[in-house]
Amino acid sequence: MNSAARALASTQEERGQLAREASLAAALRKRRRIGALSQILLTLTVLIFMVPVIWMLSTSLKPRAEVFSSPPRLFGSTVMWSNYLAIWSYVPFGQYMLNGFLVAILGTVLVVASSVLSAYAFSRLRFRGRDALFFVFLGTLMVPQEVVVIPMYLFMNAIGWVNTFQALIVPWAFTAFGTFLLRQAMLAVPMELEEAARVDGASRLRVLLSIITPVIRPTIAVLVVFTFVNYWNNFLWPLIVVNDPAHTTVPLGLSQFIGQSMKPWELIMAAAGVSMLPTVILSVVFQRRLVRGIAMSSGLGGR
Amino acid sequence: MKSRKLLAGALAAAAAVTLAACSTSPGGSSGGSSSGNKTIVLSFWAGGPSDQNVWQHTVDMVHETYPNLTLKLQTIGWNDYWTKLPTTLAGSDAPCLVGMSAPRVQQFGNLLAPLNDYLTKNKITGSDFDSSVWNVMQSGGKQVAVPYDFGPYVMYYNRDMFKAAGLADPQDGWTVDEFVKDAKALTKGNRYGFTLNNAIDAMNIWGPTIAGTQAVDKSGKLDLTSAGMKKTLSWYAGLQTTDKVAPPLAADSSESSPFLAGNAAMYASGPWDMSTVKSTAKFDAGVVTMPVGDAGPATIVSGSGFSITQKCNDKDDAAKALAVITGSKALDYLGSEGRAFPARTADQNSWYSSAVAGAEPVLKASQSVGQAYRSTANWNQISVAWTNGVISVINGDATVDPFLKSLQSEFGS
Amino acid sequence: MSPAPTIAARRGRRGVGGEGRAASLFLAPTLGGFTLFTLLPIIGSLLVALTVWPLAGTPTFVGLANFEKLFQDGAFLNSVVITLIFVVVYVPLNLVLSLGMAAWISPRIKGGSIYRLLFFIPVVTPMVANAVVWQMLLIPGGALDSISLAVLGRHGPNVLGQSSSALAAVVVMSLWQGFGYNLLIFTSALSGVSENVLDAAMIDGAGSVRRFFSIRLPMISPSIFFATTMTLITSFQVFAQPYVLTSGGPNSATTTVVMYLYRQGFQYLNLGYASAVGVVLFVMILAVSGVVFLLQKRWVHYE
Repeated sequence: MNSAARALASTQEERGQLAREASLAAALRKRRRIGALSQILLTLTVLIFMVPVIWMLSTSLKPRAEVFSSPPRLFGSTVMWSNYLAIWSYVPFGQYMLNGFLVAILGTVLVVASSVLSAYAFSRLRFRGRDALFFVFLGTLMVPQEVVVIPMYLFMNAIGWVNTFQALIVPWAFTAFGTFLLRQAMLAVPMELEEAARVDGASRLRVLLSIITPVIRPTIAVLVVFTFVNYWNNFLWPLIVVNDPAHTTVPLGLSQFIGQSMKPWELIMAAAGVSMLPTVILSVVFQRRLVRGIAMSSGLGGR
Repeated sequence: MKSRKLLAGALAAAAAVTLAACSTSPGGSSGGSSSGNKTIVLSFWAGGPSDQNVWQHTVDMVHETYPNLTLKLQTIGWNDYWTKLPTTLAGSDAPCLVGMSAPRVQQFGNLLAPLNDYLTKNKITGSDFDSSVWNVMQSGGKQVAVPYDFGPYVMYYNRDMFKAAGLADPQDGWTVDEFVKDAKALTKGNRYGFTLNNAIDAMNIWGPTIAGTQAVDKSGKLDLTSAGMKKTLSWYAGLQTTDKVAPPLAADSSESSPFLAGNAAMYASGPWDMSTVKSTAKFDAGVVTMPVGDAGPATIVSGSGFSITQKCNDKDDAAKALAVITGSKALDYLGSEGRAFPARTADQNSWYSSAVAGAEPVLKASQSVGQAYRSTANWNQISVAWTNGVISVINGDATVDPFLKSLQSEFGS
Repeated sequence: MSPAPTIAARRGRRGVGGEGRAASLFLAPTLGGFTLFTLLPIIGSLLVALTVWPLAGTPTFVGLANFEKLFQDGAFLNSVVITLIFVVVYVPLNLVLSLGMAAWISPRIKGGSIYRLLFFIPVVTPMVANAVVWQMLLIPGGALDSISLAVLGRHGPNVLGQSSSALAAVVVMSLWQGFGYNLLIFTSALSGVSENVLDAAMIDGAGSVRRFFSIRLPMISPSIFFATTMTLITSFQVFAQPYVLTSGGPNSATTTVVMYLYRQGFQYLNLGYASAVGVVLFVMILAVSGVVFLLQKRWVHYE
């Protein structure tokens, strides 16, 4: 009787196994169909998401009279590549772009330089009150720029920095973000590398520059991108502290462009498009490192 | 190694960009200097390249007259200009010359340099100018600005659209009711009869003729809750909500764009817009006096000029430049370009001769019923708050009374 | 006699505070800048808030008068309400969108990283440029209006000109711009969820929905916490969108606290009062962050 029950059980088991395999295959087919549908829906979603950008590009190539045509069309009667030339003379757009690069590049250099130094101190050097100091330092990340613009403006006025490039660059070059990010990266660098060099008589600075910095280059790249983007896009502060076109950066210039009573929308869209290029290019070039850096700064990945 | 190269590269790039940026802009408001050449800066408003060109030509006259002196023109849009002016005047590198407008003299008077000595030195005589605009450019009993233009508000209209709708051209002395009737007949599909202005100026443009009031009463106090103001604003907002003769407003609406694009048949402005109308409009344009309302024919007269800032370090040179850009030659040019109705009485013909047909009698008639634009010392703030809040009223989202009351309580002294 | 013990001995002799001098050199730039440009302005913000200080004038000490005035100021309280509405609507929507999208763009989807990059682009472009493009879409005569005219035969809603819809427009635009950042955070986080646990759950019969809510969500809760905090803080700083899209209107329907700060300080020229607004803003941010921090003890699952 036992063997019969066992024989019955094994057939049942086989049948169960076959049933499971069949349902798995069916599930996989269904999954693949859903997957394809999902892909199509996703593509559509992304396209809809891109409509503002597509519209911006479309408008930037239209002749002025057709910008607000009804019904709306993707292309005008002619493709006005000349619009992209016109923006440089309509407003001092070239000056705005140059100023933007100046501020962003110098600011990034300043931030990276000071962050590398301080991150080293916080990660490698031992001194009294180090951790407490770091937490206080980090805490100020919670104080947004908006809260301090008023005293900052008064400060700039007092030292004669209103309407200067220094005012656009220096006040925001010493936030804790860079130190935090680079410290995180430095903590992961093995001590042996440093110790070996120190044994050979290298100074700390030499060790930092020649050994540690190259190892954390990916993180530095992330810091560069973040810092450049922040400087490039900064709006409230230039709005407050800049008084002439010679120091106007791109977002401020764009807001003044649109603030004119006669709005040449096709030129404004062309200008908006060009203003987006530097940061977009930077992000595309460094996308993989950026993704990793964003993950790391949220406390994961770098563990 | 590679990181050092990168760093060097970045620094080199930064240096290159610095050089490029600094060389395109001779720094500072004064100085800039090779072989004794002095550059001083004029901060001013302009809309678009054609306006820019006219003013650049005017400003170049300074260098033609005084070869060692160059006046550098810096412009931004009208709204941004007034927002920026306080910080501009407070900064240590304030420009030497700034544009000034009659309604704002009270607000900025104490940041501008008194001009009386410079006027005598440079032979600028008040009596050469129209007295109505000369006198408003004073603060604390001293002259603080020299006017370059002034003018009553008039109604620009699109002759082609009138003809297409089978309407006769409006004539001087036409009434507000006729105006609304015409506007209704001209509103079809995407085209409108009129465009609205979300600045407080609109109240002063229409107030005098509709109700005999302005936003500021005759004693100089802000009076937004007067019966006249309520009547004016209700009527004005009604043009959009009830009569539907004007397009709806968004925060950044431009009043002139629809008219210039041929999508609105009429728009109220001053003689300073003649050049823009003639150069941009692709239709036959005309001007007529403002329509006459219940309070009889009346219009507002505004004007603009230039001032020397307190912080200017080269006031003598600034005064020389000032004399040139408000001199006869400059105003003649501005008039003939249609950019300004010259504040100098002797040069006003230049505007007449270049304006659209029939402009001269319109302007003279409007001037005769013109009132000075009254304002207060916090006009900038009131303007900002008005512009922000009136859109809802005009779009029918909010009502007239509470709006006027809240502004009056916030800004009325 | 080998060098290593010497280093260790050196370290041991100096003890914990031994490298203070070196540290101060490395920290000098960052901490120096930090003191001058972060610490001092934060203190300055408080001090200026205790004065009445017209922009072109001299300060007068008035104690807490500005704060008393603030809490009776209808326009300020309105700006707080507007900001809170924005935060309460924007933050959850942002998180749901980015989390949902992160889950949707699973590794099965082809070209997932390209989709993510496209969603990320508005994050790095200047907010002013984004706002300018959206403004062109939404104004009367713009794309929304003319599409409505072509398809429905009547004019589209004046989204930016009506108080009821203006704030919604700002929210939508901000979502479009912002969710790409959290998308990257959540994508990394989700990819770090252990497959074993998921497989075990699948075998036990848990459906994909159940697996998501009971396993993946709790396991990525640290990054949800991080994203929530960051998104909260930045949502309180909303300024460029209302400034460009609606100038804070219509009728203050989009005047956020930072817009109010800017208006009081640089349009009404009351620097002292504006600084008081800044202080209150900071307190609000601290309070909200504190609440989130306390809540994390309950619902954040750390490994």
